[in-house]
Amino acid sequence: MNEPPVEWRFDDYTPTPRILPPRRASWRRARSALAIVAIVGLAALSAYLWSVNGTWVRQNETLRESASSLGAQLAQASADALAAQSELDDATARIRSLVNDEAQAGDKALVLTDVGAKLVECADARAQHIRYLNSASRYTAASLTANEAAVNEFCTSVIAAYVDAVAST
Amino acid sequence: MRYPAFAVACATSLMLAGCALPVAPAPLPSTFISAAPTPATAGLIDGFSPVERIALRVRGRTCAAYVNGTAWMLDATHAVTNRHVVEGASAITLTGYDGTEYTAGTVRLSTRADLALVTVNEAFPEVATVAVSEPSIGDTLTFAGYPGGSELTTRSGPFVSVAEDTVGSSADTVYAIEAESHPGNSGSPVVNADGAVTGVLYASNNENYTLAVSQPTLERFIAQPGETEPNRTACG
Repeated sequence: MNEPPVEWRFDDYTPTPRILPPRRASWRRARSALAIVAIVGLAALSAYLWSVNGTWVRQNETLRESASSLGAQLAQASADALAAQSELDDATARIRSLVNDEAQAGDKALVLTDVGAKLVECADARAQHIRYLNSASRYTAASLTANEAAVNEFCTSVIAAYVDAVAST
Repeated sequence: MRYPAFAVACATSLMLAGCALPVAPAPLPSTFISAAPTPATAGLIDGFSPVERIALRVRGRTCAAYVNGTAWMLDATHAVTNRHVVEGASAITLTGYDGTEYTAGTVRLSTRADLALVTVNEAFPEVATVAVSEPSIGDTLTFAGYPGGSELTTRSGPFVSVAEDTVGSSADTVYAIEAESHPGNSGSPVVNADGAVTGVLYASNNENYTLAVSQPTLERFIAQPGETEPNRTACG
């Protein structure tokens, strides 16, 4: 069985006008407000950063000047310390040298003192020998000769030691 | 563009922000201090090191010769030196680093090692610290003394070995140090890095090796005065 054809009717079709809903209009206004707030906020942030940057720059310059000044002072102090160290080294070397000179003089004084004591012994021995000679009749010629030789040998060695000691001073 | 107002806002904001972005400061200099070497004053009080301040020059006379050597202050009135420096010697005089002279009194000679203890007539202002342990091989050891009886001299060198005493007659081992010393250095204090006396110099080959009485032998000498004998100075 055949169905009857559909009857299309167009005459009662009336297109509905495209009207934005109220929600979308308010969103646009909000977006504009947000943009303005963002502009103002970022501008404020920029101003703040600019101000902070200036503060940091000024502080940095102050610190640099201070550090440079302290560095110069430290360098001067270090140079002064080096100069003082050099003077101390010189003074120490001088002290070492003087102490050594004094010690060497002490060594020589000890030697000269000993040699001097031996020279006195030599003189005493010669004086004693002269006394023997003055009483020659009491001694044998051989003993007198032997004593003279011993005294001469002793005195010769002492005089040689004296000459050496004097030569080394 | 669908949102021109927003884009303009962003661009403006970025422009403003860009103008105000902090600029990085110039690089800091590597140092604010002008190049100037620092004076090396470590350990120096008046130009003399601690080991130099305890070292004394020894002068004496034996029956056969005049002797020179080195000693160091164990305490205010006792100096340690080598037995061979003062054995048989009289008229012993000790001179400090500053030239002050001290006269020796009694002398005790070790019967075990080349060591002697000399009593001085008045208190000495500097006193040594004796090490409580032995040095390790490779440690740098320092000694101060009067080589040839001349100026106070300090030398350092590595501790190279523990050796038999082939120079003297000690039953104890001794330290070999790679450093030059000469007659007159005998009795010099040998100190470790801390400045504590860890040996007593007593021999060398006059070139690059020095021998020292060891720390245990020194410690025993100090602790056991019974292992000593008096110094006989009478000449026959």
